[in-house]
Amino acid sequence: MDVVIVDFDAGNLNSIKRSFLQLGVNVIHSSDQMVIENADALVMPGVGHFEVAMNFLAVNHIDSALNFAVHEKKTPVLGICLGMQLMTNYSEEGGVNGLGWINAITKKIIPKRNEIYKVPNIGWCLVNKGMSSKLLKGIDCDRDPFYFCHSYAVQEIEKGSVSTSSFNYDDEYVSIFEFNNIYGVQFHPEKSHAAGINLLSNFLAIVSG
Amino acid sequence: MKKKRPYQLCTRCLMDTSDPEILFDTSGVCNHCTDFFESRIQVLNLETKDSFDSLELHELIGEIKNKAKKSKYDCVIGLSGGVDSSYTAYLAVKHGLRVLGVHLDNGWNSSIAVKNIRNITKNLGIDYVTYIPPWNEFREVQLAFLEASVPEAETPTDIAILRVIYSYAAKEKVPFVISGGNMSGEGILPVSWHYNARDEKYSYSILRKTLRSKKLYRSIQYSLLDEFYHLMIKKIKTYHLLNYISYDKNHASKFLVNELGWEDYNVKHGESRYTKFIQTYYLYVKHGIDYRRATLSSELCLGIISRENALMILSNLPYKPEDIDPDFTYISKKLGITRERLKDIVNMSPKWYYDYDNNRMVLGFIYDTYRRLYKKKKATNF
Amino acid sequence: MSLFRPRIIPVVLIDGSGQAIKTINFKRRIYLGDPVNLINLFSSFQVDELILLDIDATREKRLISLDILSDIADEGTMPFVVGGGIRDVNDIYKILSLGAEKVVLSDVVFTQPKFLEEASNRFGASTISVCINIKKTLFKGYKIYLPSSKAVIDLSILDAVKFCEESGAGEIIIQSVNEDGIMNGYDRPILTEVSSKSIVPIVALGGAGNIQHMVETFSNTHVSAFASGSTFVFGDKKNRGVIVNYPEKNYLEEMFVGKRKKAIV
Repeated sequence: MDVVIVDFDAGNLNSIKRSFLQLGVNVIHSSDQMVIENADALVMPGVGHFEVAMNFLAVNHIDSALNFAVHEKKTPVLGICLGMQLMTNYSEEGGVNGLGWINAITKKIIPKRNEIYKVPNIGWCLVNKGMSSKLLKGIDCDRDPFYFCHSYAVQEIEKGSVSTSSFNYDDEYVSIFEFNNIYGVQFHPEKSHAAGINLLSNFLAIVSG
Repeated sequence: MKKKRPYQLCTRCLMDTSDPEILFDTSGVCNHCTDFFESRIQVLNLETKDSFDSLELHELIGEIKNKAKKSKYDCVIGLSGGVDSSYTAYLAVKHGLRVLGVHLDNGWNSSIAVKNIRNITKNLGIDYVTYIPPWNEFREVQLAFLEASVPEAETPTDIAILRVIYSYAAKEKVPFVISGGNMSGEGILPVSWHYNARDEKYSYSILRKTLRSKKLYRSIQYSLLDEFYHLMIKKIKTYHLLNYISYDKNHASKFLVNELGWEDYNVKHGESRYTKFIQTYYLYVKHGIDYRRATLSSELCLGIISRENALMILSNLPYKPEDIDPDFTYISKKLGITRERLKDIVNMSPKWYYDYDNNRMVLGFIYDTYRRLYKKKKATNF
Repeated sequence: MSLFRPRIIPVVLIDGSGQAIKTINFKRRIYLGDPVNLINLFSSFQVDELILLDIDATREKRLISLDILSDIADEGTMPFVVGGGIRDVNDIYKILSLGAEKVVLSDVVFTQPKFLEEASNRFGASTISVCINIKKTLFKGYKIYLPSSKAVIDLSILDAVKFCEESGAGEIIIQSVNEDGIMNGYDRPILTEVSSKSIVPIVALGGAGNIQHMVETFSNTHVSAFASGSTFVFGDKKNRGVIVNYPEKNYLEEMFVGKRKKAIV
């Protein structure tokens, strides 16, 4: 199984790589169109700025390779944090369009009770397990939190056939979306200890299943 | 280099020619179990009452309390997080001794070891100090012993432990050191497997032969002179508390888990990843030494295990093959060398203490004389 | 409830030779040995987050060693944050590429005032933490202290926090020089003031000696995370024997969940 971590210069490929290696999977990182189009599975990690990332994807034609892989070949793809946000229609971070794979918008988190809920949201949060979530299979979401680190979150999602799991940070936001071969998580499974490893393992099961 | 002998296994215990200096009598019984039964077992009091107390222990405690009245602590105990030192600390505190715990952090502590030390010191209310030798120097000394291809890869740690225990005892004016060493597990140990760490000539020879400066040894050294100073001038006495009771490791482990928040290692020497690598893999692969052989032989002689069961244990590998790859990665990185270099080191043909300059004869003579003068029984390898 | 409990963060300091140390009042240094082993232990304890700082880097005009960082990054499966001599976006890029979640900017925020904004725009606010070191003076209140030059800045703490927020800092670590290594508790007054007025999360650092100190500050302020160098390497205030430790998750939940005073909330 060839898992390709899409390298769009948005930091921190190392940790996700190590997590997959720990799960016994061969993983490489690449910005090459051919490699991306031929992958069995794709991971879009991301620690960084939405506009900067989208620019990089466009300039290097990674966006067309991704569109082909995801829409024509139906390659399973997992977006993490910024990677997940890139899959939405638009982000307020830079005010630019995203890849548009999921009908949703990435907006700044603006809590009513800012004294308690500071922005960015940095820390460990429990996720509300969505009913049909495949990624959260077997994970005790009442007990095991995930690590979040973000100022923007996916909102205004058109549910339809998209399965979502939320999380609460004063308001409710999308923590996970799952739509056919497209998966996005707002938190960092590669840093979330056992729960994170289990989630990545579930993704791998989806890829091979 | 001595000529390789044909394989021979003791007919009584489990020691074999993986000790190149082993001797057999005409019935095939080796010198180790013979020595064990003749001299060393007298150190153990076989009429001990139970695992907490004995008449002799009571007397010893009384002596210690009396003589240490003027000191801030009655005794110093070296803590590693392992079952022996942890149970020793418990016994000492149970019998009312004021203990100063001393820990050597050689940079290789496992998470269970540190958890255990913390819980033991907290739950027993023991003050403790930690000595951390300069890592850059310590690492070089460890590498030197590895490059020398001898079995004594642990000598830098062993000697540092001695140094830290006795220098704190001297510094804090504590007249007694209580050691977790015990006959039941360590009675049999061939010199060739673990030549006494206190021979400085040997250590310096190793540093020299591997092109390193003697100065690297200064933060951990503990020489005969130091020992003489602590024993004769500072008058620090050492006792092995576990030899004064009926010590059963399994029972002690269970007790510590239940009562003191102690956690058992799932492998022997799980308190240090380095020790685990050395004792279960490195020595086995390079020298053909299976350390379990020595422990099991002691236990067999004490009637704790049958020959059949011991042989069955020995028929399995001492290490888990799946651990070796990650161990290589971690250990080579910690030592600052490449994986390939570590592999090369492991594959180098084995050497033994007698391949390097040493003072065995002289030191053996000195210790024998001391024992004769003070009528002490031989309890260690010198 | 989703806001689980505050982050509890061990801080590991390294010096110019790559050895781990602990400071007292930013002056005296206690040797802690090999940082790789410390981080390995914290990783096995599954700590919430870890901060790694090279405290000599800025003064020596160099970046924290990437070799050491790479060794350490391999050991850390927890989120970790790195600081020490960062001066330009390339430095940040290199550190994030090795696996760090965030970087810490300290003196440079004040010596190169445009840098923070540049970094935040390039990498996103949530990757940039700022550490403000504060010294409490006898008569002149709190001053901002720059350890690399030992200079003191004439700017109020609240103004400094506001500047950082407006320049795009993701979180702000308030570190007390006076309480550093003392293990008597955090400087609550300044933390109360800053955390009630800030938009971004505030991390407390300097003075903690045990979890109780953290709970006390949590109950009475809006501080989001509690960092400490001393708590997780020493036995306690009296007993300075070095032993790496971190509480069990159950214990942390017990101590923190639901403890923020109703008056504050």
